[in-house]
Amino acid sequence: MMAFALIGIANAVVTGACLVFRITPQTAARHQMLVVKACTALIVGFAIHSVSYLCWRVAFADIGERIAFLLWDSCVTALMCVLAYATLPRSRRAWPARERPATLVGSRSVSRVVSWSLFSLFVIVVEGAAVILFDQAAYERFGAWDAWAIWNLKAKWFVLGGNAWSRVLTDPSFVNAHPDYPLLLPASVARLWMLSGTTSAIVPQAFGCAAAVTTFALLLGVGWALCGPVTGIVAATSVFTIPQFVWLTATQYADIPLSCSYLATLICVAVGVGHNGHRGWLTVGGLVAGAALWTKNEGILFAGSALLAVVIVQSARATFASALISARSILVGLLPFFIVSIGMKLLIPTGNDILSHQSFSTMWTHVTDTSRHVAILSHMWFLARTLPDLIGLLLLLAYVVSSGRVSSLAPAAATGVTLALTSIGYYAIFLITPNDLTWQLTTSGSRLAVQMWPSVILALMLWTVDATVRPTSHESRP
Amino acid sequence: MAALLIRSVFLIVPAAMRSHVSTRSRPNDGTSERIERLASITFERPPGATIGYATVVTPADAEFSRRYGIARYVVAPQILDSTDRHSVVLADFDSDSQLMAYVHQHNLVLRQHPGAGVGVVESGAAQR
Repeated sequence: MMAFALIGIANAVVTGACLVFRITPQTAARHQMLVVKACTALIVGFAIHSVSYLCWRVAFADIGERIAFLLWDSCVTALMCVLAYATLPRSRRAWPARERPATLVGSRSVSRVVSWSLFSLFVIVVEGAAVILFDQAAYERFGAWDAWAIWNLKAKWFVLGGNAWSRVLTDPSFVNAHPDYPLLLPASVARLWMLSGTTSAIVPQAFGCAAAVTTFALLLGVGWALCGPVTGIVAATSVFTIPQFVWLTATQYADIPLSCSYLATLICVAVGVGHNGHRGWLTVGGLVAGAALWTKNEGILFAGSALLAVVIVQSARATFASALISARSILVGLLPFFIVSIGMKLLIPTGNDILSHQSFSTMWTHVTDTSRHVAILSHMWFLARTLPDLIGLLLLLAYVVSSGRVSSLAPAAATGVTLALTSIGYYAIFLITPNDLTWQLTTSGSRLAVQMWPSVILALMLWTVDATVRPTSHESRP
Repeated sequence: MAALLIRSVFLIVPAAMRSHVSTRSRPNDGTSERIERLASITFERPPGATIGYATVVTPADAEFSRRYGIARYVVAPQILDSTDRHSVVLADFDSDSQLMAYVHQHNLVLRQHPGAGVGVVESGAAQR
């Protein structure tokens, strides 16, 4: 039983790795971005296999045989392996010769005492977070409201529904389960449930935990790769400056997987627009942004913001033509998931609860209502005061300020502009929502903050760290 | 760095303890227990069949959404209608006395009774 699920996980990892390692350049220091690439591969792999699972469901709804599905799943992986190898330039087919590790730009040497202090800090924080996480997960085994009312409900229908599986998306009685929501999370859980032959709550719990660990590893990996262990550990442990990150992991909501996709996208974008940036990173950034918009509707806003931010930053730094070339690289990665996501929305009769059930004049009335602006800003101020641990936040800011500013701010600007545009979009959604504003703010305001927090840490770090990844000598810029 | 380390000790350890205490002392909304109470119910009907739902609270009550949502999750892939106007009904009450009163009041047959207050009931027409 578990062996099938493990093969399914391995399939997703290998599929993602084929794509990510094929598209991104080899780095001069071979392991420099290995953690970032591996985490990105995990996200992309699961996103692709969630789509392939739904394709299987559409094409062979009456075949519930796990072995047949495992074959299908493995065929997708094999196809990706063949494609990656066939399109690989001859120079990269052989295992690369060991080059002298490049001196990492801005690498900060640390003394033995500081190293041990850092290691202790790391262990304490991880252990504390793990204790809280397991405690919460044990208390709410089936997750919080959205988990059983939306995400896992759909997953259960997908895996047990037989020929009727799509009724959870089309039947009017499921309208409050939001049939228009993207399907990465329910399809991934259903895929693992099908392979494991159970509908155990451990699967969605493990999925949420994996997303949190991946977010943590991404911050650790990118900080360490670009600047050294101090930056990596400070960045990674700063995730817990908002303790709600851990609680949300246990709820089995889609916010932590989305947060993970946001962060991976911005890392790829930062490296892609950095000095000597390879456009392969932008394409992978597009793929991960695609995974974000296939996770939650907020991802559509984020992907558009990332695209626009790259165009703005590249236009300001170089020319508009080069900005369009960068945008094209992102679009190449983004489009497959965008098409799947929009196609799904077109096929499902229920519209979005915020946008489709009100007229333009009603929205405009909301926009011009001053009391709504006051309510949103008040709640933002309330979150800023109550969500983060203020001392942890001050220490993070002190680290950033004391580290000095790098010369090239394009990566920091790209991430900052993306986050700013996404925040403006969130503000606009709160403004026009037809739901009760107080209810909307209290149920989703803090979750949106948690979604963006790891990306905010990255943006702060990029003010002090040069996002330059030197490719190998034989790796030509496209 | 030392400040960060000390701070982390004073932040994480109490936070973990606070979390543990608040988790245990928080009023339990009973979601997990409710899911497990209903989990042993089985329906020998094809996926996508519609069944009714009867409970002690009315749809106007805020508690109804939670109870109904949990029941809908548990009975998937059956469609759970929010009314009891069906031949097969999931009865989700707080006690056996409430369940039996409902059964007698509507002249129903109790088919499954996996736990206190919970049952699958069928109407007389369905029985025939």
